[in-house]
Amino acid sequence: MSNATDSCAGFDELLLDFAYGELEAVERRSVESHLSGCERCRSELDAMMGTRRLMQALEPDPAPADGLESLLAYAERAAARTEAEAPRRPWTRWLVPVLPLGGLLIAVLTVVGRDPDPAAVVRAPSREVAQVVEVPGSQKAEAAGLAQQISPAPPAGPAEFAAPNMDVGGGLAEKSRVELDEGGGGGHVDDLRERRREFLASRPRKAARESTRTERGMGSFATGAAGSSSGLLGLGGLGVAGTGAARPTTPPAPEASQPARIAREEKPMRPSLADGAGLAALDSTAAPEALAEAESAAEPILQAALDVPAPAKATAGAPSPGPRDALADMGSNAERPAAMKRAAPAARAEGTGRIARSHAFMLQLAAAQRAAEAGDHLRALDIAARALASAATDADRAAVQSLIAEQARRFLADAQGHPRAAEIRARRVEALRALGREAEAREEAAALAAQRRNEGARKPASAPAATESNSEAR
Amino acid sequence: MGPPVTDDEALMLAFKAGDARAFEVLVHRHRGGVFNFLLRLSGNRQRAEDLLQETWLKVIRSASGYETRARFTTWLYTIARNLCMDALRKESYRRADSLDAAPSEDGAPLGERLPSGAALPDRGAHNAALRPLIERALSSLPPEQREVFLLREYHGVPFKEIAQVTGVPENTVKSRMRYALESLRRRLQELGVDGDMAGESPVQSAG
Repeated sequence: MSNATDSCAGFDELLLDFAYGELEAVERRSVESHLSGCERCRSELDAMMGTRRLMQALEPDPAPADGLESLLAYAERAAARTEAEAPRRPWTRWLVPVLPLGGLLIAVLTVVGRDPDPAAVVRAPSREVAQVVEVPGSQKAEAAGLAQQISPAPPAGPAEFAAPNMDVGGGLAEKSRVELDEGGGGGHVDDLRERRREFLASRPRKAARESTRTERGMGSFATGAAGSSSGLLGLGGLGVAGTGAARPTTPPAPEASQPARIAREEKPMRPSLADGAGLAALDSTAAPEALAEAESAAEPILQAALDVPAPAKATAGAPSPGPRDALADMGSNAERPAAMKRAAPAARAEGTGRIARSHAFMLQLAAAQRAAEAGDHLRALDIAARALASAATDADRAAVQSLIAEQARRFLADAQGHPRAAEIRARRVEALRALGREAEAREEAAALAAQRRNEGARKPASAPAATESNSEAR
Repeated sequence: MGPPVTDDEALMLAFKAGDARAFEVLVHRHRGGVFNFLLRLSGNRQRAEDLLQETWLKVIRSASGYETRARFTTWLYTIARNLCMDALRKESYRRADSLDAAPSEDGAPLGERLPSGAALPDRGAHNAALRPLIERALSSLPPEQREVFLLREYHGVPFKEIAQVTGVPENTVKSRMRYALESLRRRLQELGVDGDMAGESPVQSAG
């Protein structure tokens, strides 16, 4: 630029755009005509193009196959949750996309997970489980890989039912164990599964370390509710070891090396959490009141027991100049559990509170989903309403809203004249709105208006939700 | 099986509305590109694989808030870029972690392995010989120049959109790009590569 003659003024600014074809036709032509008469600009362009040619010799690497299956499975589940047309989708369908091996999982859940005596799960000899899981030949490698991916650490803790010497079957049994643990003895705890999957899927290979931590929480449980709870904690990235009431009767496996390894990796050792109270919350027979008690009992324990650094506000703290487009925040790592480990202590208090809230949310969502699965739509809706209040992220809210929409639909399908029908319909309208399912929301709002008119004709007293939904019906 | 061929934004909206197949199409279209971007930007294959997965998970999680304000690829590369830059910033933390500290071939800076330098007959082999040199030149760029160069040169992202991705003004993007091209040229010369070695490589032009 320093040597630029007057005639070059402006053109050297355009050469870069010219080299990358970003100029409009008019400008391009004027650069071309300038180039024909300007040695200096021509050689500058040549240098650029020469570098480009060299750099173009770098051929792209193929993307790794690792993680693709789990990614697509996760996407499918996410899509299934938001998909508008629930009626075509029986509840069980939710399970299918859980894994590429969804069918296998269902087999295991059916045979093992639904056992009315959860201890039977613990006692189930590993070989039996492995037999249940018959792997089609073509899926074997994938199954092994996935199993490894989800649970690469050697099994630890007393409640393992995966034998150490199994290859593919063992991997699958291990995988299924994880699923069962998360699912709470066969219950649908979809969001939990998903979160764990997301958490692990985000570490295609480094899963070893992460899941070792999680296994400590998970591995101690294999019974229904207990598994769920430890899953919750593990999912929160907390890796709190379960103790007390939750510990199954099976004696600890004689693998002393594993805990030792964990101890080395996890310094300081996190305190154990006697979360029997939290466990009660997951019992599908627990009343909502008991759930509330359980949560309020569990929260201070969590607050006190956890010494988990809060997630860094990664993007906010980044040295990026000035305010940025919302776009720029998309990649923020802030809510990733792994980020918690590395965060500044200053943010801990806030983080612990958030984690406790997220724990409460998980408990509530799990309980709601269990109620839903048990066919108790009203109870599912009531718990979901509280989960909605504890939901901290849009994704959490969306998960609850979609459960509400679904449960309300199911309840309303058979609720002619039910005293709460209007209220529930109003909640469905609200949920559909929140999910951006406008067409359905309008339809439902119209139905609500009609319902109100009918009820109004019969008896003037209106449901409590009347005011809010009247506006929605318009 | 899949939805009809359509633009990325429509696919993303379809996924947002619950169509998992649409997402699959997007993944197949862009997973390779994102991976290569992350690979070159992070300079570490293992990390690039992790970040690749994180990026797409983020796409899924953020789908409900997706709007067609920007091109899908701009949005996608913004996610990838931010995750990667976060990771690069945390590099010192990671190094302190014994599990990551073990030196591996993948952990070594790109281009550490020296090429034979011998002239090779066919273009594929020729490029293979150039590759470590190019990687080495690339890894010598500071990240803020490298990301701009990668996005423009290999991913066809126009300067204006690079400005959105990186959160700096377009003029800054362009000046980083000029610096990048200039540094690369010098670095390649130092490595004994000159324009002649590029042979007849076609240079794509977006115009």
